[in-house]
Amino acid sequence: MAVYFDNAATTPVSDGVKEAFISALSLYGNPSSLHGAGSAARNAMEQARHTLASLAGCKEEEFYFTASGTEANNTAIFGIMARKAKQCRRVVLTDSEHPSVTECVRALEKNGARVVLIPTKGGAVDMGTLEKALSKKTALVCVMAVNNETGALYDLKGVRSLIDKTGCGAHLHCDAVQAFMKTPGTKRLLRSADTVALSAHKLHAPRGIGALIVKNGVSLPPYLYGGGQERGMRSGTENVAGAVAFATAASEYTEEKLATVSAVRNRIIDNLQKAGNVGFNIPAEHIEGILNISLYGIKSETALNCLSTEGIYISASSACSARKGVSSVLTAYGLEREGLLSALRIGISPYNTVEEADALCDALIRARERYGRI
Amino acid sequence: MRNDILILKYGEVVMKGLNRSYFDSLIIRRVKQLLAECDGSFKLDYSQSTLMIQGDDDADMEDAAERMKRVFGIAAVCRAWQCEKSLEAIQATVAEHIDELIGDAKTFKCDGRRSDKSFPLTSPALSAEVGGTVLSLKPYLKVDVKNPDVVVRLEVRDKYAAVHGGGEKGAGGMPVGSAGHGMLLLSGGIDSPVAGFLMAKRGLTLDALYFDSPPYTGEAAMEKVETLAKKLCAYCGRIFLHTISLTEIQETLMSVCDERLFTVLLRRFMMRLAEMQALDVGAAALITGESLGQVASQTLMALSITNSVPEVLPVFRPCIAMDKEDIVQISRQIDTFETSILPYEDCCTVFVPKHPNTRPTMERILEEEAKLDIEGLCKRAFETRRHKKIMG
Repeated sequence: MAVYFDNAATTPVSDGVKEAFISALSLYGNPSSLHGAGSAARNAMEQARHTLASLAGCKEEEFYFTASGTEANNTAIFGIMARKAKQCRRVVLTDSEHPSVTECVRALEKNGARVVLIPTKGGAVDMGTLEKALSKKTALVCVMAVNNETGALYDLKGVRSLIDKTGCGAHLHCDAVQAFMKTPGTKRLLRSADTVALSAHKLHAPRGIGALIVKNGVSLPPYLYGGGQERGMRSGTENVAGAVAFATAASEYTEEKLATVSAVRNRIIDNLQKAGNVGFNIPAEHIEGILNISLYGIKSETALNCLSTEGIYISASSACSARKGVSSVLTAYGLEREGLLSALRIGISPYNTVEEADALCDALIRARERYGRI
Repeated sequence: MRNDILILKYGEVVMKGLNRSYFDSLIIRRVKQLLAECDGSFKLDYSQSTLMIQGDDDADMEDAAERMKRVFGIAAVCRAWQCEKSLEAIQATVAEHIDELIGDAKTFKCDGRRSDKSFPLTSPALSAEVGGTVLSLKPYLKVDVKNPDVVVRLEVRDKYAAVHGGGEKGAGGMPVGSAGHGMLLLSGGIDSPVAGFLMAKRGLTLDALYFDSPPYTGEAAMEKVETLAKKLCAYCGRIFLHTISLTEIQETLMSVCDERLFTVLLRRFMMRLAEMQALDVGAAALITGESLGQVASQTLMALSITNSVPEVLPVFRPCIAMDKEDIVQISRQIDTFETSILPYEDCCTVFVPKHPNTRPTMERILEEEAKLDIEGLCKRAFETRRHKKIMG
């Protein structure tokens, strides 16, 4: 039986979500159709929107389904920049954003945007640098809610206050893919941003469904043109079963579940502290579900391979940057060479157990004893 | 019935003598293999060092042309229109395709060639007649026989005539299999796939040998090497990929030997195992991506020490005199570069001595090797062999 601790990359679909998803597959009607089958699909879709909007602390008309968090980030970033005046071309973002944000900004830069990176050393947004970067020329500020490699919880409320204080009028976009439902204050957190990207598959729902929250008063051009679904923002026949699964998964992520995550996390930390010679790359503000460590003495890839042969799965950095070598996020966090070479990301879900935590730690320590070389 | 065809012009094989038909048959075999992967069915007609390919109505001629550019032994690939062997038919074909032939050129010339000497017009006369047709259709054009923007080529062959605007460069080299069979040491880096490509271009079929080092190297590195082998298959046909694990050898070297000599000692083991594997599958040469002076294990001294290992087989190092930039250029051309730079650990990056000795002596190497059970280490490593057939 596999032990899966790579839940920040993606999660296995939970039994409850599977059941809801399969049941919703019977809703064969097109939600745009006027007949009964269409109506049933439409109702399920809107019920899912209602549930999710309520959990995210926004209005239903602000909640748009997308196919992924990446699509939501693309929609918001390119959409906002298309709406901004020509003289307003500065984009400010942290130095540890997800590639679905950084690559959009890189494309904007090629078309003349000025880009300012804000350090996040130690897992906190450098507010001093941010304040200096804000001016009337600043069109867009991108700050993720939770970092996908360190679990750092960034101070979105503080960023909002700074933007408001300077009166620069910049749009605040937040990639909240790793944050949604993962911290008790999600609603309050997300309220600070003008647009918010979400994804379902980090919550034990299937891939292929995400969302973009667009605050009332913010105008974005359509991302996909066609039949006018999602109130004209995102055409394409709706993924009804995906939306139902997303809502079910988010509803299942209760505070009790978060407590389980904390218990498993604490067990891992205890075990590894006892083993010694482990760096805990834990920011002051963080979520419980992502634990980044440096298992000094063994290269990340070797540890990963050892565990994989035992059916225990973790990752060395984000799955979206695993093909690019040393993690730029952990470099931005401030890890030195030894810490970087041995960094491991443990993604914890409510379905992990303390027994699994013990098996993970045991395997990590054995791997280091046998194959530790650095 | 469609009249667009491909004309493949043979390269160096035309210099061959009595064994020419052997080389021709290898080219045709490879052409057939690649066409079998294209949509549609194709008819081949060979004469006078030229292979004509005619497709049926479903044939994807563009895809076929792209694939033909990867056939070693072919100097040029022309997309042409075929017609009956008469002046009128040639003129009609030129008229039908005049826009594709001329494009936005301002000057042109016609270049008639008749390999069928019974054709009533001489080559210059044919060129002049068809040149007149072109001018009547595009009166603004000027004839420039020395430096024209485009050349309209007219070929009168044994069984048909063809019109085209010149060919694209083919892969060149010698047909795959004409020179025998080689064992490529494929590491996952930039150089070794290029070395394999260059030797396949000279007519070798390839097996490849990859050294892994589990758990220091993992599945991702293995998949990367399989992808590289697959990309090479596009040129040289199927590859048998063999994998041997070096973990025990590497760990032993690290614990027993002088760390500064680690890389050269390891490469000597690689050569021993590669020769064993090559002889096992009937390969008659080893191929490596080494380039003189590129890294510590590729200094002249290190190479000569590595080179002395194989007892029977020659070692081909086609990249030996190439700059890194030139190697990179070929790797981009054969589409292996982006895969090669994926950052997974391979057996050469797992244990890297901090200060490698760039001037190792044979005496020191033999001293270090005396500490080892070379035969036992090789035997156990050889027992870890796995094999996979990779297709393009």
